[in-house]
Amino acid sequence: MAAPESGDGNNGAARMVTLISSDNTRFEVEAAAASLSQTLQLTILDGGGGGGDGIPLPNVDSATLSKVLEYCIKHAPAAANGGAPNATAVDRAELERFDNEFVNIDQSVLYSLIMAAHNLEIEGLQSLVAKKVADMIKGKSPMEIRRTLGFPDPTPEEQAEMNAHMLEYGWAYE
Amino acid sequence: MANRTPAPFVHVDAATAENARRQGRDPHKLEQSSKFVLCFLDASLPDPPVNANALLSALPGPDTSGDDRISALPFALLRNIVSRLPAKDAVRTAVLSRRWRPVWRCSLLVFTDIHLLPRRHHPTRADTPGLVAAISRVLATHPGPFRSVHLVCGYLDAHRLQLARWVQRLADKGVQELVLVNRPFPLDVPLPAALFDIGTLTRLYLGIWKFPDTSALARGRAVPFPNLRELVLCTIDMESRDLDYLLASSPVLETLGILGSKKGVRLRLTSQHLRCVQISFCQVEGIHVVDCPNLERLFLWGFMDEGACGIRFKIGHAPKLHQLGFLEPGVHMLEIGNTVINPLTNSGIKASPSSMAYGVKILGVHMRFGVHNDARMLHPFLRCFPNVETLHIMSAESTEVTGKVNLKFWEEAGPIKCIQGIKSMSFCEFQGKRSEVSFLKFFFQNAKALKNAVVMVSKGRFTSIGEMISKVESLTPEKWASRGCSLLVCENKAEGGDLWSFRGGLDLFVNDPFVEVKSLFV
Repeated sequence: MAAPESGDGNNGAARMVTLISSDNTRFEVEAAAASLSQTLQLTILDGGGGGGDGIPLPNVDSATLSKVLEYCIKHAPAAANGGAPNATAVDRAELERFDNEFVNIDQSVLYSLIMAAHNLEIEGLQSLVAKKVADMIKGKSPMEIRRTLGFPDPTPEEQAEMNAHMLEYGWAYE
Repeated sequence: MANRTPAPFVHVDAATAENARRQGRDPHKLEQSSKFVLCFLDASLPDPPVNANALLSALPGPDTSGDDRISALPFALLRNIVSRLPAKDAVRTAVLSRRWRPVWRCSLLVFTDIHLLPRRHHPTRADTPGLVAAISRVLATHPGPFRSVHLVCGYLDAHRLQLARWVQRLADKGVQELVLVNRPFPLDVPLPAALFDIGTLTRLYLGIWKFPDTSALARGRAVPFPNLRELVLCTIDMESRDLDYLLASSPVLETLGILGSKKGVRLRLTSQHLRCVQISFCQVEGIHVVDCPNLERLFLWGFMDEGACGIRFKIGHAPKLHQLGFLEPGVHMLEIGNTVINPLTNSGIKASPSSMAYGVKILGVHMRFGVHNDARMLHPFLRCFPNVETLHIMSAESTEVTGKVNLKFWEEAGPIKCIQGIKSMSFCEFQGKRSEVSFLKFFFQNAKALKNAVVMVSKGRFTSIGEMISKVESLTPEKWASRGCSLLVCENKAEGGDLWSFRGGLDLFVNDPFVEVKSLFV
């Protein structure tokens, strides 16, 4: 998978693009970082987002967008060399540490981040947030998962279903 | 022995124990070696596709808003989440709500049987019946497709029928990544030939099987593994023709690992895609890299045939080969281009330009410095690799001392261009022998570009730091060829040298798998 050539690679200063959140906040960011988003990459390759124009993102509010960009800026250098053998174990460990810290957030932020990663098609972030939710589920009983994810208390009907499932899939509850 | 009850066997079964006794062998030794092999095998397998531990550990507290937003996510995202869960957790999500009920069945199956057992529990024969039932159930319940299946905990000899069903099911559901291990004993449980029906495989690890006789398979049909990129065979009982057939069946293979083989391994490699070949703990009969334009690394280590001589190691077209080792100058008959360097006849001393591997930057050699013939072959060997930047030497103990190998010996052999360009050198299993000291001295006097040198002392070789320091002083020359070179001396962590990491060798992210003291060369 060859990284797209940025036509102005010799210019010294990196190309910047402007992103506009749903609440009209403008974010100026390097094109390379924004291009981690498959959705944005296409627009940027078409020459969009430069100058005074900016790319509107009606589905992402400013708090979420700033969080998303924090991720993109950190991961852009590694993505630029395709995660190739140049990346040392040290670099990888540093990114892992960052990721771990990055998703140490409360659930409403996590939810917004999941939706943003999905809408903007940022592959690494999509898998990071999915992993986070999976980690919140691991090793718990259905009741504990319900509590963790903020489900209301089960109806008697749901409770009966749970019991039936436990009987049918005994091995999954051992 | 009679009044001491030995620990019960985990791996050796009654028939194997009886058989060993009849042959005058101690079944306990067999148990011990099986333990070692399994330990190494487990460490060499890829990580389970999902982790049972929550690594992103700092969890937010329970959501008290009573408004469960995660469930409101699009279905595809819920699937993505569930496919990252161990099987038990994944199945349990089906009872969370109506919305979650179909999610597991609609996600790609990612499954490892390790998660069916308690954590940190070493699988025993007694676990197998329950395990087999649960595996059968998961494979039968999930409608597919299967992304990744790791079955590594079963003693499957008594469950051949289920095994055959699993392999068929894996073929029907198009599994992409498969790790399939049978725990010993016996060692020759036949692997179902239906394996060759899993055309979707991209990654395949097999451990401890008798490989199907491929001459009996229907030929002339489509290539069995058109997508297979990574293939690792651990302790597989197979004939050369089966290995040849397997390689011919995998036209886009990039990574090949062979770990432990009872029968001699003879490889003839022709591949447009192969990037990495690693052979460990095998009896090697010969390796011929015929035409591998993309081969980057070729590793052999853990030799099973100490003292064997004249193993042919032929490098044809491999322009990208930049990591090579461990070659044994006293044992390998190295053939590059039309030059043969043969330890038996001591021929081919002059390397011609056509017989040099210019691309090799990292080279490992396994040397018995005390053996005159080994030492004499090092020069012609190194001359074939004029652009080496990093040299790793594994020093082997030798009982026979044949002729003097001193500083004069090395000086008389003349300078080696390759040594002058080396920037990093590691010397493993240093025992302080005169032959080793004289080589290191010669090396330091000639290595003009040297920046880092590491000497790892054989574990327990020196009783005190003082003794080690005085030995090290004896190997540093008065005149270093390189200014500003650092020399670090440390002790090997394990007896006989630290174990090479099989996974590190296969991991193209690891820049130099030879380096044990990694941070030193970064």
